[in-house]
Amino acid sequence: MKRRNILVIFFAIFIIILLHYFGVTIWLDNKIRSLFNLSSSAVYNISTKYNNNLEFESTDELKKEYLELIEKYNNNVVDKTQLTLLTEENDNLREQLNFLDKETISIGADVISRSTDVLRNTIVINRGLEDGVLMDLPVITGRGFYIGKIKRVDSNSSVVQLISDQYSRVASTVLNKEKSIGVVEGGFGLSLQMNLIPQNEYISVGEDVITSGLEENIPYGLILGHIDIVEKEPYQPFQKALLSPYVNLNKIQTVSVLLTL
Amino acid sequence: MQTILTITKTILSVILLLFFHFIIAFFLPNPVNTINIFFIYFVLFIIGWEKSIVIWIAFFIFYIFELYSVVPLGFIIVPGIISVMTIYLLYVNVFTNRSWFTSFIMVVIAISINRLLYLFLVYVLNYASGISSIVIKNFFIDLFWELVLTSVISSLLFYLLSKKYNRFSRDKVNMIL
Repeated sequence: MKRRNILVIFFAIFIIILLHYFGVTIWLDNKIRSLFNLSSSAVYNISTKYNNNLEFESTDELKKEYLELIEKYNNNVVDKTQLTLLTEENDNLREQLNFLDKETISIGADVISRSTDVLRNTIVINRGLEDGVLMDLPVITGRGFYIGKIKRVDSNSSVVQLISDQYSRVASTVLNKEKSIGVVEGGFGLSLQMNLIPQNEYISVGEDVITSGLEENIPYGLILGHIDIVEKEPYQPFQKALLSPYVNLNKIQTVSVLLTL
Repeated sequence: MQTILTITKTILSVILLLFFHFIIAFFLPNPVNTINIFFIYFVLFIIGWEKSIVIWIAFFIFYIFELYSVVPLGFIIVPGIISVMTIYLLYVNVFTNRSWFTSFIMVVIAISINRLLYLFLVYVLNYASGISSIVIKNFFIDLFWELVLTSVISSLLFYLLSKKYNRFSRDKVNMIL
């Protein structure tokens, strides 16, 4: 290959980076994205359905899982009743105190693709600037499972940095007696790690971890996961905990972006 | 007319490659989903056709990846282009034979350059942003599987293609002589 050709290619890269930086290529980028969003979302949706099949090694295992689910269901029924009563009580008390709360609305979005970059853990959703999505807004799935925050916004799509991404940091609270605070970090495969938990506070396996609300845009109470392992060294100022998210981050199909008003 | 045909072929190649990439990444279990179909295509294209248009195909593919990435623009396209250009120049100027081993080595070189250059850029960015450290254990595990699986499949495909098509079976030195 001639030296001139090499120069042409590097010149083209330079020009594209420059045009992109000044926003000249936005129109073209959006056209390319909308074309590839269609194909990637089709393949992604089929793959999540295909990969969502449950597999049990034996009938005993299935039976055990079934009995555990029944027990969890019964506990949830009790919890739900108590929650309804507490919600009513809370609403009444807030009304009496004229409590001003931030209203949170959300918009639903479909996951259209997932990152294949080993160093990053992101998903692409089909909502963007035109739908009111902004940088650093929290993204949840289900009725409040925090999965990450917006890290790139384009006109019709956005990229969500998942909590399992190694650059992800979120202020969090353990639902224990002391309401211990810490920071949940990604980069540990399927698990999460909660750091900076004060050494003198007692945390135990199975306790839930939620967002602490100490971070801008991220409200209090979004569920992050539950504690699997506690790492406590007497000579360290802080203790650590390994968490398991409740949601399988590789198989998310729909999410909601929280827009705080 | 020839130019339009080349552009159409290039666009079709890019679309098909991305489609197959999505299928491999989303459907296959780990570590099989680390197979890098792009580098298999680039290497076989270079060996079979020896045309520099492969660099432009790589350019478009990596540009599309940039559009969905959270890293600064250039972090994917620059290592991608450099890796493809390196194997192209190596094949044209250094390698003297068409064999499964050439295909194997080219895949290993291309993927290694691409991934390590990307890692270097990420480290530079982290250093500039004040981020202390990143976990790279998984990066090297995935890189290992990507190298092994992609190079084996590339060699296997080369072997099959050389049995069927003359283009892949001709010896490079004899052809020149």
